[in-house]
Amino acid sequence: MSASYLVVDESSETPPYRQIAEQIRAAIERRDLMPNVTLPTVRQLAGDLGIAPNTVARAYTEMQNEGWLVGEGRRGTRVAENAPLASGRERARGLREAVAGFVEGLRNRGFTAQEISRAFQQTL
Amino acid sequence: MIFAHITHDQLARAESAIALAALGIVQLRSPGCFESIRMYFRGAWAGLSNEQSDRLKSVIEARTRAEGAGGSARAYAGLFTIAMGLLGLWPAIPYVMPYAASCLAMAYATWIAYRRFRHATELRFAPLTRRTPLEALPPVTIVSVALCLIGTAAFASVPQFRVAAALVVVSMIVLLAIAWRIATAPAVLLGTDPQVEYAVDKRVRFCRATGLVTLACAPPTVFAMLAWAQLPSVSGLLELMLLLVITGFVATTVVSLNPLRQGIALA
Repeated sequence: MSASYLVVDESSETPPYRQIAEQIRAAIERRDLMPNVTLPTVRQLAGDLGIAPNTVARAYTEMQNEGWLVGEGRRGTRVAENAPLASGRERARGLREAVAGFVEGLRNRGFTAQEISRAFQQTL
Repeated sequence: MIFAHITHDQLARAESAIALAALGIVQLRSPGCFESIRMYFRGAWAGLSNEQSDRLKSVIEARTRAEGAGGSARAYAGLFTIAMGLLGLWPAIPYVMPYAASCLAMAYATWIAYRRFRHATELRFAPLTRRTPLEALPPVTIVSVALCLIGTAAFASVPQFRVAAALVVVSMIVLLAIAWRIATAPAVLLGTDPQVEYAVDKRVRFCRATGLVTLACAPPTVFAMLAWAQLPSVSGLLELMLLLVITGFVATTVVSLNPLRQGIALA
């Protein structure tokens, strides 16, 4: 299992709690985080990221409600045994939607399709 | 004979002053010499490939820069240590106080380096791994602290040592509080090479937290040894307490120095 790392970009349009939830979800899907692995405490993760504990708590709560994580009170939060892993088709759809949303945001900021495509190719 | 009229107390104070002045000069000449990050990785290079060594070297350099190597706090700690050496020559001051205050100054300089590092970057990476304070402060250090506290408390039963014992306990508590803050401090990863940065952070955290516990156990050891030497007759219980304090100090010293020659596992 390779270690996973989170990063929160405060300048992003995506709220920090959602950035955290998406990255944890991706780590579970990649199997970097295996079932029953205990996650950092809210305080530890918030301290490491330099953000408010409420933000991390909100991400954890949302993921618990969706069945990805299990909260065990003082023992912490762990990855659920039966996390709702997406099928190949759902993953592809999720990727399409994420890219579409991202491109939409760039178009609203005035970038042309050619510029966006060139930037994507350079980055990849 | 020049030294014929020097009492045991005066001799102890003079020796203490010379030792503290030397310690202060070393700190001034090479700030951070007692907690430089490079020192913690002396034995880490064996077994690493060239690529891994380069990664480790660049992470250590980046962190050293971010902490502000040679910062003014460490130089001030050196000056303060020299001043404490001189203060220790004054008979009204309990002889262990300057030494305890010097340990506090060194701990404070370490804490300042940590605080500076925490503000070194806006964008921070966090490992998705749970940490516990026991990773940086293993149980043996906690037992060592308990031994030193018990030993110091036992010497406090002798009226002439009560004030010094109280000062030692206060300095110990402050040093332990700083050690605890470092053990539980956030892992600040700059994101250039998070895996190596996290490995470096773990070792630096361990070495500094256990180093501060050793520093916390040092004043009780000096105090107990000098107190023991000053008493005309020592009960078996106090001798046992002295042994406990020395054992605690030696144990935590060994634990804090242990990782310095160890390798480091990098993917």
